[in-house]
Amino acid sequence: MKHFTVHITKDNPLLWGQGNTRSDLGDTDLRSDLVFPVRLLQSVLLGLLLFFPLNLFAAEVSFIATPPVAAVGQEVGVDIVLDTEGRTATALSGEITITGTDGKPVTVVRIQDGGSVIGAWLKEATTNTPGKVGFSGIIPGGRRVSNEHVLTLYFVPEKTGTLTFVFSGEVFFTTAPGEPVSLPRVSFALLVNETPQEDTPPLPQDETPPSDIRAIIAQNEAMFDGRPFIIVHAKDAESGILMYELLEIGEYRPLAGLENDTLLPWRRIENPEALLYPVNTRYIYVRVTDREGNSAVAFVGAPELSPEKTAIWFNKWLILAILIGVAGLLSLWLWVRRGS
Amino acid sequence: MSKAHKLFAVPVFVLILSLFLAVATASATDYTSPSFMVKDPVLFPAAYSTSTGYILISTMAQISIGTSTATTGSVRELRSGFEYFPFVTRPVLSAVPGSASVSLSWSASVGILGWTVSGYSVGQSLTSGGPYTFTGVGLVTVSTAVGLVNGTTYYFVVAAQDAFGNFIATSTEVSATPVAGVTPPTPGGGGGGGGYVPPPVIPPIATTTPPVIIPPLPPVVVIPPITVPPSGICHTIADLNCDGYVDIIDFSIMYYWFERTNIPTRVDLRQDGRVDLADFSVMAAYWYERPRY
Repeated sequence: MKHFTVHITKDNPLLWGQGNTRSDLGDTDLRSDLVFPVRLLQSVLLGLLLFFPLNLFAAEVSFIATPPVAAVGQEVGVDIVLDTEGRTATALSGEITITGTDGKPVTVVRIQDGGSVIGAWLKEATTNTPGKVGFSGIIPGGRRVSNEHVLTLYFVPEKTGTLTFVFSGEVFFTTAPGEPVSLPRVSFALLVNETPQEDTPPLPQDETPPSDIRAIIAQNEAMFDGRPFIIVHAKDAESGILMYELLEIGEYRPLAGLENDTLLPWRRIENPEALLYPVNTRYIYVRVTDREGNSAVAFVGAPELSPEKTAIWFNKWLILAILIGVAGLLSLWLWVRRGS
Repeated sequence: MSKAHKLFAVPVFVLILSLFLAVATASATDYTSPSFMVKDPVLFPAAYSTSTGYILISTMAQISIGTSTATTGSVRELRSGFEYFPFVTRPVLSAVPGSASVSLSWSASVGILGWTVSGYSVGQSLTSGGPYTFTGVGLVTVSTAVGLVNGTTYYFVVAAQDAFGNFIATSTEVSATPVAGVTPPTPGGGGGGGGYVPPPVIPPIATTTPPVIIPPLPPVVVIPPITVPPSGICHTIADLNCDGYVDIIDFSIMYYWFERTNIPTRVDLRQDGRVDLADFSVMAAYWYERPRY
């Protein structure tokens, strides 16, 4: 972690500002008409030195590699960690470039962002662009972040040398809502050896599917042309959520087996996403898959006139039909009587 | 319509209606034998279980069996009532004490002729016979009562429920006394040591497929128009749907306009003509999630 510290000593007249020591202006004592401008200059410089570190380095990002020294052909994870130095942060964005010894971009093989300090992602980190990973998201409620995990990038080095990581980004604080503060540009070098170190612990693999799936169906006249839409939320503590899928079908399917189903018309959705069919005409399922392929399915609800509900309402309709029949019979009887 | 037609139409209508009603009440059947006939059997409420604190009345009683008994000779056995009616088998409950807890397991109730078991409630009491405090546990056949006092005897029953939450079958009461240092059995657990070896819990042999519970679609959340000034009582400027909270719904609403054009003024929290991370950072500062339930 980097810290900028200003040392103030009596031997440093610039900082201490006392005129009874040897001055940079000459060997003679300071004349009284020079004392004020010099002290003013000293104060301004002191203020600048104190002011800039406070603003430039109120938060920073650092890298932690596991294992600390990589080896050719061995997967290595590089964790990106945020520290806001006691200030309450609400959002973070960043871009990481990764290059090898030859200066060429290095491909990220997988990313884990589960359990991140980022609670909701606007732009999720992907492995799509070699040598470059960008992300942005919010910290709901705002928090003082002390060396907390943002995301982890995994690589498999192909040659010896050095992998170089450069981070640049912005953070938002509650002290100036909506005003981005640049984070210090951070470089990190990871040495890649020919052979791996002994006793290298295995890197974490995610085998746990997402949990706590919640879905809300909402409607607003200004969104999706007024059509109902679905909002899905889920948690994945390890690798993080990769995608949400929606299934709207006309018949009920048991949940078992839907996690890996490839035959039904699942469609990958944004969040929010408009429903294809009118509300209460389809059985609605949501499938959430994490970055390492573990899926979980949640049943959102049955249509209004599903067979199950029809069965429940059957007796009520029967009673209603009987009452209508009796009423009709009475009416007929009265009509016949009047006619006769 | 002539008078003759009218006179003809009325009986026809009554006949059709009678058939309709007959279908609806076809459950009532006369019982006959060469020696006697039981006409118009009915069901009647019966005292199911009583204590000083309460009385539980079942909605119908099985009166067809055991109303009288027959031996031999000229004495006839009277079997009145319905031979076929909706019925739910009673769960058979067993309890294994643990430390400050009791592990409960029961056989699955099976509903026939229209009754479907949709869940169970576990009743707990410090008094034999109740009254019990019931807790819904869902459609499961195991449960653990926790937070109990070691050395105190607790009485349990388990009740099967229909889709409306009605109790449709109740087990007989069992009791258990939690003891300090006792580890109750855990499903699928293994290993470990201790002085107490709980009896093996034999799972019920399922003879029927458990009923499928299909929850209805939750009601659609109608988001009020996003207008300036907002309609409704909004918690903060970031409470876009004015429901008193700033949560994932508001995030999703704002995300809909993320990097779009022609955005509603109220969604643009920074009023700079676009929705970007800066607006979301403002929303994050106002984040206020509804408590989970």
